[in-house]
Amino acid sequence: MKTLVAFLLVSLCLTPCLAQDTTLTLTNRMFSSDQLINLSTMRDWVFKAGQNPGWASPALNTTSWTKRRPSDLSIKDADKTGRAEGWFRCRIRLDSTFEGMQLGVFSYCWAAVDLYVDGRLITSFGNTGANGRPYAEHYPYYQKAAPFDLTTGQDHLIALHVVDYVSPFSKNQLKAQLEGGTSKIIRIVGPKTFNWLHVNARLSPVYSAIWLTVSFLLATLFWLLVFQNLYERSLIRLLAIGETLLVFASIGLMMEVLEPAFIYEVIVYRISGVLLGVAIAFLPITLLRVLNYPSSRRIDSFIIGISVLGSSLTAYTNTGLPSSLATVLQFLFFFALLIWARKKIKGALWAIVTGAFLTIAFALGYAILQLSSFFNPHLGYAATGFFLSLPLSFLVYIALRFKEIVAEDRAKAVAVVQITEEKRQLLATQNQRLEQQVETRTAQLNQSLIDLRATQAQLIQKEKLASLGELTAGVAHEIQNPLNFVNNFAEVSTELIDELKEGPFQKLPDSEKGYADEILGDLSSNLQKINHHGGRASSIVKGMLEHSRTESGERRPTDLNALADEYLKIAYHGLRAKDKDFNADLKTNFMTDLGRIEVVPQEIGRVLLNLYNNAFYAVIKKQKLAPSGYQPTVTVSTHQFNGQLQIRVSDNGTGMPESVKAKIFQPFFTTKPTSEGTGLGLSLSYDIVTKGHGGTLTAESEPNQGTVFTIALPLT
Amino acid sequence: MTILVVDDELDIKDLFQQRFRREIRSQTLHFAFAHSAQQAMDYLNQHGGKDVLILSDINMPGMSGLDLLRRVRSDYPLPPPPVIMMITAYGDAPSYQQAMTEGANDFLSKPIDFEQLRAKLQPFVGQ
Repeated sequence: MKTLVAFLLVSLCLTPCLAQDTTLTLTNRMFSSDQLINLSTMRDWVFKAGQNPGWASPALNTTSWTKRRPSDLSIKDADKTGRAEGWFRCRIRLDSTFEGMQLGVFSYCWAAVDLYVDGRLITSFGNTGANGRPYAEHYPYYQKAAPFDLTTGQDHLIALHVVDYVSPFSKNQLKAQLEGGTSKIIRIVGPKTFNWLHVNARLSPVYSAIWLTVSFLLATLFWLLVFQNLYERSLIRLLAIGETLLVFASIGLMMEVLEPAFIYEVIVYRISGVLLGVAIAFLPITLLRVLNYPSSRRIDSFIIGISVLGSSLTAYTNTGLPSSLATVLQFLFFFALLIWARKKIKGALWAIVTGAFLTIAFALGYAILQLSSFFNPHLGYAATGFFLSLPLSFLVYIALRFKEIVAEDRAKAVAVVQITEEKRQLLATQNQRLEQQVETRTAQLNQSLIDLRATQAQLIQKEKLASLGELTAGVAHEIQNPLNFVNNFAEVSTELIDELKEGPFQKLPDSEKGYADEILGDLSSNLQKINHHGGRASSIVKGMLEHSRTESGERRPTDLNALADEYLKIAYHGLRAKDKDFNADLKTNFMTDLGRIEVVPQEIGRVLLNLYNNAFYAVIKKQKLAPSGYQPTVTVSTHQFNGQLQIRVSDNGTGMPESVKAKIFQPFFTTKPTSEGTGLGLSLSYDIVTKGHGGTLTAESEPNQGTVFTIALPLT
Repeated sequence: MTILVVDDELDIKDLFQQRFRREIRSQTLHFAFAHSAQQAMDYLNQHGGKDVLILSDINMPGMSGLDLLRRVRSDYPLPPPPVIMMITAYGDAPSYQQAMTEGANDFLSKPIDFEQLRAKLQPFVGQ
C-alpha cells in the first residue's frame, strides 16, 4: 500500500503537529484524524547511547542523559562498525479520555526496538539482541499494533532500547531514517486504527495476490492473443507489455508481504515504482493506437521518458512528487486525447473510455479517502479499482472488439458467400448461354452440312446433267446426217413417184394401171409417214443440238418485266390458237423498279416460253380432272434481292411428286404423251440459265397444288 | 458450169442426182462428186478452177472443208475465182464465221434445204 501511496500527490500531505509539554500528559484530543499519536516526536525524551539492561528501570536517575527525541536519531549516533544503539526514556500519563479505550503501539521504521513500560518489556520490534539472540531489523510495513494497556491518570515510564545500522545505500543515513522512519519509531493508535492495522496486515497480502493474479492472467491472456497472431496484434502487444510491467510491479508489492530484508525491500520498491510508472505510460500509448493514430517512436519515447524520469526521481529523492506529476501528466494527456478524438470513440472504444474514467475515479476516490484518513478501511477497494479498471477495460475492449471483428468478418463472409453465389449464378447463366450458343452453332453446322450435302448432290446432278447434255449433243450430231438422208430420200422419192405417175405410169395398159396406182398410193403414203417421222426425229435432233450450241445470241441490257410479259402473251395466245376453249387467269406481279440486266433476250424468252407452256399444260390437265369452280391461274412475278433478279412462274396446276421433280431437268424426261413433248425443254432451259447466264433454275412443287419455277440471274 | 459437191457421205451423190435430176437431164447443171477434200483438189487439178462451183461440207475426215477453201483460194487466185459454198451442221456459228472470213461465197446449213440451194444456184445456171 505504501508503494502505491508514493505515486499519489495526496501522500505528501500528512504530517501532524502535536503540542509539547514537559510532563507529557496524553489526551485523546491529541489523536490525529487517523487516531494516531506519534510519540517519537514528543519533546520529553531523554537519551543515552550504549546498552544497559538496567536502563529500563523506572527508578533510574536520568539527569546525565541528553534531552533528545527518538526522531533525532541520526548517522551521528553510529559507531565505526555502523551500529547505532541507545536508550530513550520518557514519562507519560494518559488522561481520563482514554478510559476504557483499547490502545495499541507500533513502530514504522527499520530500527530494532524494545519497548519497556515501567521497567517491563512490553513488546519488541525486530530484535535488539538484548535477549541474547542475534540482531534482527524490524520490518515496518503491514504490521499489527501491539496492545498498549496503560492505567489512565497514572504516570508511566516508557523506555525504548533502539538499535540501528547505517543504510547500505547511503553513508549519511541510518536505515531507520528511510522515509523519515525515525519520527515513527513509536506510535500510539486508538482502537479504530488498531483494528485497521490488524485488518490491513491480514488483507494486504490478499489484495497483492489479487492484483498479481489478475495482472498475471491478463498479461498471459494478452500474450497468448499476441502469439495467436490474431487481429490488432500490435495493439494487443502493447497491452501485453503494459500488463507484464504491472505483473512485475505486482510481484514487487507481493514481496512486501514476505517481509524482505531492508536492502531487497528498497531495491524492489524502487524497481516496482519505475515499472508501475512505465506501465502507466502504456495507457496513453495504447490509447493512441486504439484511436488509430499513426505510431510514432518519438511520442512513445517521450511518454515513457516522462514516466521513467518521474518514477526514477521518485525513487532517487524518496518523494512521491515527480512520479505523481508524471502520472498526472499522463492522465491529462490521456484525457486530452479522449476529448480530442471523442468523435472517433465508438463501439468497443467506449470500454476503454469507461475504464479510463473508472481509473481516474478510483484514483481520486483513493486520494480523497486518504486525505480524510490514512487508515481508511475502503482504501483497499479504491486501490484495487484503480489498479484493475483500465486493464480490465482493455480486456472488455478486446472482447467487444473481437465481437465487432467477428461481426465484420461474418458480414464479409456473408458478402463473400453472396459474391460467390452471384458468380456461381453468373457462371451458370454463362454456361447456359454457352450451351445455347453451342446448340445454335451445332444446329447451324448441321444445317450447313445439310446444305453442303444438298449442294454436293446438286453439283453431282449438274455434272450428270452437263455430261448428259454433251452426250445428247454428240448423239444428235451423229444421228443428224443419216436422218437428213432419210428425210431427203423420202422427199425425193415422193417426187420420183409423182414423176412416175406423170410419165411411165401413163403408158401402162389399163389393166395394170389400177393395181400399179394402188401400189404407188401406198408407196406415196409410206414416204409421207417416213417424212413425218423423219421430221419428228429432226426436231428432236434440233432440240438436242441446242445443248451443244457454244455460241449464243448477243447479251444486252434487258427489261425482264417486259420480256416476261411479252412471252406470257405469246405463250397464252399460241395455246388459245390451238384450243379455243382454254381460258386461264394471267397474273403478273412485277417489281416496279427492277433494273435492266445483261441477258440474251431470245434465250431467256425461250426459257420463259417453256415454263409458261408447262404451266399452261399443268393447269389444263388439272382443269380436265378438277371439279367446277377451279380457276386455272398462271402467275409471273419478278423480284430483286441478294444481288439477284428472280423471275417466278407459278401455276395452280397438277403439281408433281418428288420423284418427277428430281428428273425434270434431264434431257428426254417428259411426262407428256409421246407426240406432245420431246423432254428437252426444261433440260435446255436449265442449260441456258445455268451455263449461259450463270444463274439457277429451281422448281418447287406440291402435287395437286401447283408448281413454282424460279429463274435466278446474277446482277453482275 | 460444173458443181463440185464435196462430202464424205457416199449417198450424197445419189441424193443430189435425184434432187437435181431434171437439171441434170436438161443439162442446165453439171455435177461432179468428190468424197474428200483431196479428191476435190485432184478434180480441180485435172479440170482447172474455171467454171466450177464448189459445194463443200466442212466436217470431213482428213482435209476439212475449210482447208479446202484455203487451198482453193490460194491455188486459184486468178479471176474469176471458183465460187465456193460451205455446208455445216446446224447452228455451227464459229464455222460460219470462219468460212466467211476465209473467203467462202456462201453458206448452207444441214439439213440442206434443196429449194434454197436451187435458188442460190440459179444465178450460175447456163454459165
